[in-house]
Amino acid sequence: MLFNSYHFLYFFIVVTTLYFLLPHRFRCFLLLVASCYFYMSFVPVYILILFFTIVIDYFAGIYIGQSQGRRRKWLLAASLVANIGVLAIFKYYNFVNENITIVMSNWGIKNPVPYLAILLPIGLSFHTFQAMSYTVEVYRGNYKPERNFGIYALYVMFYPQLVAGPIERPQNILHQFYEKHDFDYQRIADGLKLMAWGLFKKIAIADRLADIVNVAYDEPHKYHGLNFVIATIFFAFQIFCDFSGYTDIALGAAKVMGFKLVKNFNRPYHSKSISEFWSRWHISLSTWFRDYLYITLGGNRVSASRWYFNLFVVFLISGLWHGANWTYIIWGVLNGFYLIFAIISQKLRDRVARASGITRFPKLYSWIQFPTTFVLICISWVFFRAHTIADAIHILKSMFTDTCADVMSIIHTHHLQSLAPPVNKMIPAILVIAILETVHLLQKRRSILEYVNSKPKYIRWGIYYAFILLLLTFGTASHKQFIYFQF
Amino acid sequence: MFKKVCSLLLSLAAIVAPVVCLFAFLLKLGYEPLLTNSVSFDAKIDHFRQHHIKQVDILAIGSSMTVDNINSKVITDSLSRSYYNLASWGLQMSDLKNLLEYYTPRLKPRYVIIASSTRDFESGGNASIKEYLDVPDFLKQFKGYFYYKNFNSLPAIADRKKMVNAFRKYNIYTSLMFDNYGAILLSKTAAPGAGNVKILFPTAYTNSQYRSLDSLARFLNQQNVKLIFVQQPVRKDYEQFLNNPNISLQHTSKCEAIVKKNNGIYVNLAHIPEFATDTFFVDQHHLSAQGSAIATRKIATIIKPYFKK
Repeated sequence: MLFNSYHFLYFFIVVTTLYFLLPHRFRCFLLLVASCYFYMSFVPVYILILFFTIVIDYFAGIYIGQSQGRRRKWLLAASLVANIGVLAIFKYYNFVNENITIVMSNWGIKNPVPYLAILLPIGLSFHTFQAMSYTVEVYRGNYKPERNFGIYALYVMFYPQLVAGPIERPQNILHQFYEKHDFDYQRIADGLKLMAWGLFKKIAIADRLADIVNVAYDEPHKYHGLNFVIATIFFAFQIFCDFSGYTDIALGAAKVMGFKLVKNFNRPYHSKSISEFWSRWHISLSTWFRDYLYITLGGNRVSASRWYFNLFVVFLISGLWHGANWTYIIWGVLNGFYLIFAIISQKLRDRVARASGITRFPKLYSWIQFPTTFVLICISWVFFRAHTIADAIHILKSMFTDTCADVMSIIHTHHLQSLAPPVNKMIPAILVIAILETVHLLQKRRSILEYVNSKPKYIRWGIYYAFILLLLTFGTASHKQFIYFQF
Repeated sequence: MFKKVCSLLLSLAAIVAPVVCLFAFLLKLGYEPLLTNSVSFDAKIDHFRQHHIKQVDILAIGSSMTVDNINSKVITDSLSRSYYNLASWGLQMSDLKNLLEYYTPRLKPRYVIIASSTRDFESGGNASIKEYLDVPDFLKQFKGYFYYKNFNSLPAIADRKKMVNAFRKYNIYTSLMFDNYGAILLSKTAAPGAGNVKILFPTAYTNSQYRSLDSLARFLNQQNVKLIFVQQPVRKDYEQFLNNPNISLQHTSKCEAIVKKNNGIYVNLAHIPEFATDTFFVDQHHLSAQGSAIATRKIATIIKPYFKK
């Protein structure tokens, strides 16, 4: 059940109506049943995997809470092994096996280990990480074990954030299941507005851009230079709108029922550095890695070389988290490399900036930092989007060697026929990106919801109708799946 | 609480009502919703409805080759039976299977003619046609429902209207100037060579399309409907475009085996002398009006004895 489908619309209306009609004590049960139905609408049998991890982590939490010393450690380890084991089997087994086969075949040996004909359970990495954060928090003593099995199951399965996050912590969400949420007009209206904005990002921006991006990335040997530059920039916005659109719908759906989920994005392409980008992009995953892996490894309170190693490991695993493919691993490693290089070159860059006098013009300096960061991120997106490393290298090579010639050819011939996306597709794509960036600029000072709500009624309704017109003008009907569902 | 719920519902109604009005107005202006992503299929459904087709003895169905190459006048004159051509561009065997499963119980044809070539076995079919067929019949009566169901953007709706108007006005290659029976006769000058393409065949979809042909032929046989499968004449240069010269022969014998296995009539016009030159072709697969008359006469002569039985 995709958020951008009528199936979800009916589901949402029914569940939300029942939620407010039912007495408080039945609401969690309703949400649990609804979440099971939501998850089972993808591949029903995979609910068993979810159930397996829920049972393991529920009891692990309780026993960790009751135990002392080494036993706690063993229980935590058992829970983590179970969770990571599920991930390993369903997500990484075939990838590892395939690579072993390649290595063995180079030595002329046949790999006797069979492939598993399995589909990746939807959102596996998200709910596994959320489940792990519970046992770790209980282990660290930051949260008391949840005794109510239904509430714990709902913590893992809460449908708005079940398949693509945000990855919640027990401290933020578990207590909310015990709170009574009344029917609050303003909150519900705000939640619906957030959902509408998320839907716009998905169907008017992400899906529209996808049509252009897919053409270049699915058959990279047919295109060159400028086509890849355009496709990559569009992909940057596509993936942002796809994922943040999903998150907005999730946050909005939860808000309608009175739940507050964590913010996952904060205008990431307005970052002045890579480290700032990672504090604004997929915040719930970045902070997960920071709290449970980076700090566990020692963070930055270690020697410089160990610090770089820690960063490298975190980004390597982050890449692997996204998918069992070398392209994701390279994407993660590249981002780790950016960060390490940024740290190493910090002093030198500061010195150059001071010497050039640009620090006296902070606005101008920012205008150099924004695009530099964006370009670096776009380069890493090439690996993320390409099907193979060979494709990614071909695309990057062509971007760096052919783009100038393509631009010169357009300047000389005055026509855009060398571009793969036709002009009638490019113009709406650029317009929707312009709308997105206008909203982001408005959001610089305060959230768009606050901005709209602060306006007089007639302006507010004018904005609503204009928004609907934009949705009807730019919306596409492709019902494409959200990119992050596959993770 | 009741007051709050009412005010929320009123706000939602204030959002939805103008949208409904907008689409009602668009419908009145002739900006109809897209039923599927096929211009030709949507136009054919319109034509089918306008002509109030209830029951036909002979139903022609297929891709553009059936639309353009089966001459309605020749069929009706020679066979003297009620007839309709439900074909539209680009339909693959899997689409035909879906369409026949839907329309056979409704139109109760006794004979189904499919004019085909390798082009009907090369892609995965059109999912939007299946989605259209799956809509309950009573909802199909309300065109406005498809604004909601398909959620096409306003520019897409406007573009479709512009396109259909152009296609209905001129006898161009993509003409939608249907005769009373749903066929289109192409003029030789429609757009010479417009459909010439280099073909890689078989494709990844070909085997599943053979299975669909088998499945639809079996279905028709079970329904006591005679399938008349016509291997269309193709212009000589098409076979040069194919990546293997034997492919065309392999394809025709495969189709023949499937059709005959399911008690159908197989008519092979692929290599008859009348079409040895380019004279009657508009492109590799589509015949001019004159060519379609010759081909259809051939078909009628072959199948006429079956109609007398």
